[in-house]
Amino acid sequence: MTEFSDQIILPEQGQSAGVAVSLESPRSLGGEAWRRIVRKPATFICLIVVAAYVCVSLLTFTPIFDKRIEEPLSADKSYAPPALHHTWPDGTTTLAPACWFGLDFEGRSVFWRVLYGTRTALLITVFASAISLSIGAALGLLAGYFGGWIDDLITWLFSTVSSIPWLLMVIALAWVIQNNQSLNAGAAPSRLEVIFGGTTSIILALGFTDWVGLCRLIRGEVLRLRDLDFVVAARAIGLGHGRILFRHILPNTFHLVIITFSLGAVSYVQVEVILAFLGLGVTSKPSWGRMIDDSKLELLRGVWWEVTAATVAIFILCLALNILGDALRDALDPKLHGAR
Amino acid sequence: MAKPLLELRNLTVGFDTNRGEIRPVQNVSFSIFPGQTLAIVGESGCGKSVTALSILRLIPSPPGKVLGGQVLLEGRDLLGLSEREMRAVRGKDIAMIFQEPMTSLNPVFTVGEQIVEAVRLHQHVSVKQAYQIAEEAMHDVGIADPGKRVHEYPHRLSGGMRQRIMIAMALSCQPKLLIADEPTTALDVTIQSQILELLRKLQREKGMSILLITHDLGVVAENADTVGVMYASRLTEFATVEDLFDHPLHPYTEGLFRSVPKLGQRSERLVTIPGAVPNPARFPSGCKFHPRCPRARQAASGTPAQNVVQVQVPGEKFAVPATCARDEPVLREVAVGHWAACHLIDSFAAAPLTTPSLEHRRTVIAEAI
Repeated sequence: MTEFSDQIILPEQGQSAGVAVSLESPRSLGGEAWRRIVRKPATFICLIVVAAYVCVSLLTFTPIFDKRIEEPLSADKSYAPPALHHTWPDGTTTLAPACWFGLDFEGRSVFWRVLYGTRTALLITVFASAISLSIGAALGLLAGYFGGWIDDLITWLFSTVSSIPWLLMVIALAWVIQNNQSLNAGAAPSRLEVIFGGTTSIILALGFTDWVGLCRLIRGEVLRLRDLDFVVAARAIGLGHGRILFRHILPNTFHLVIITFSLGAVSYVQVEVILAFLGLGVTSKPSWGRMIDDSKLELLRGVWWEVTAATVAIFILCLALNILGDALRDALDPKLHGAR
Repeated sequence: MAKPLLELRNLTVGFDTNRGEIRPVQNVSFSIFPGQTLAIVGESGCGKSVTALSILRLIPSPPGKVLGGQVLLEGRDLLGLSEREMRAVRGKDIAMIFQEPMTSLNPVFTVGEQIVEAVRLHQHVSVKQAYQIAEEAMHDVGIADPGKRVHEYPHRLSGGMRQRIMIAMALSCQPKLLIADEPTTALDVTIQSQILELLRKLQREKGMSILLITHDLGVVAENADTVGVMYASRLTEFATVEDLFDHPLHPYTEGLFRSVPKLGQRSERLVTIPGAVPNPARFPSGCKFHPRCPRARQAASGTPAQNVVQVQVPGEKFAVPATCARDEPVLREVAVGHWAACHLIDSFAAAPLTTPSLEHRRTVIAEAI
């Protein structure tokens, strides 16, 4: 009898389990998700496109851009259609990328201004997301984990915020913040203002209104996680609330944060355009929304290139972000695994 | 006589629900001595797990709260400690393993990171030393190649391996008491026996006490020194494992034994206890077992009619002695070292009201089974 049970015990303790596991090296959940994303050509291309946009936006922080987005290239400081070559004031004609997308109403290069628009779009996306995701995640965690009156308060807060039409609130907030800023217009721009180039009002408006969705998602997920054994186990080994929240629960909700970020980025790029169209957009620096706003009346006179350039730039970025967001959700949501 | 490691004295736990307050643990008292294994058995929903969780003060609060009693660890009342002091007790003095190994490890961290977290919480060691301790603990619980396995994520391990990791994590700080809440229920049978054997081995080596929560009488027979039987929030019987299996005194315990198939005994169908564990929101009056109790029905037939009460349960109507339906029996020492709570035990009314406590070790070592 004793021998028999020994024979049963051996495989689990020793060889068979050991062999089965050591065939592959350990891989983290993030690593698995990454592999799933880069395996599909479409999502891989989208990843490269988004990376290219990010690179361009980083390049705009170099000084070469400052001059090129303002310098008039046409003699009469007016529109010129797209052209491969440009004749400079001294009479020489060279291949000029600056003129490939035409010139705007002040004779400035649409090419450089579209590239600069990437910076505005990504500034808004990154910082508005940072604000809204941190608020959403923090409140969602607190509400779900502690429950009780904290949950009641936060639920009341996001129910109230979400019952006000979102765009209306963004517009109102952006307008208030912008007017507040223009009161201090006389002072010299601080370093922060130079970097953000008038996007602060939009960033703050979006950041403080768009946290509701993530807050709801995370609250629900934390309610589920809170009663799972590994959280009880973490308390049973003596961890405090802070460590449990940030080390055990938050990482388990990261997939929601990443997905919300990738899908939210698309709407931030679009909202910038809408706000600019309503005259609440970026005032001091080129942005896609402002370019479309600037040239909307001239469209009737046949000036199509400025609108087109900005729209195509938005279109490609949004398409890539959307596909990437879907792929991320597929890769990170365990329920969809195997379903293809 | 040695001092008990852990003493529960009249522990009562309440939960606020929308149908009023329920009490899943009522007046539970018992003691565990160093190196002893105490098993708590009972059907699902009888309050075993809540008892275990309230020792560590882990019941979700609100809605749960301890309404009364004491939990004494080496004489110190855990219920009086601050949350900070309690955190130092959890994991260090009392550790716990859970029923479901699939969900009791965090999926986003490697098993090593999780053991190291537990180690570094209670011991001042470097990360490198903590990993060494983790690997030793994993070796102790029979995991082959721990140096490599520490970097594994939980989803790559089987249920049995994960339960071993949980045990390694619980034991990494050398607790004095290990609470094992149905540690083998979710595992298949061969793995069950391995895990139990592992627990016995580790108990011998490290001399810790084990509070074993289970509904499996086979597990009790093989592992426990002393046994408490719980029914509907109360301890109904407490004795050494030999005593309890040789002569169970409470009709509920008898019913539990009858519902287990025996080797070499041919029977058409297993005897079951009629009915189900009552809902804590609607406990019956008197002895909570009387609507299901065969002994009460028998006793009623020989009792004069004025001392009998009619009981209506779904599909049946029968008589039980009035005391059973009216007075709730409390645990009394009906024989030396044997506690039970039943009015129909002969010596019950005269038996002393002592606190269940037995410094007993099983004589038969179960290795041969």
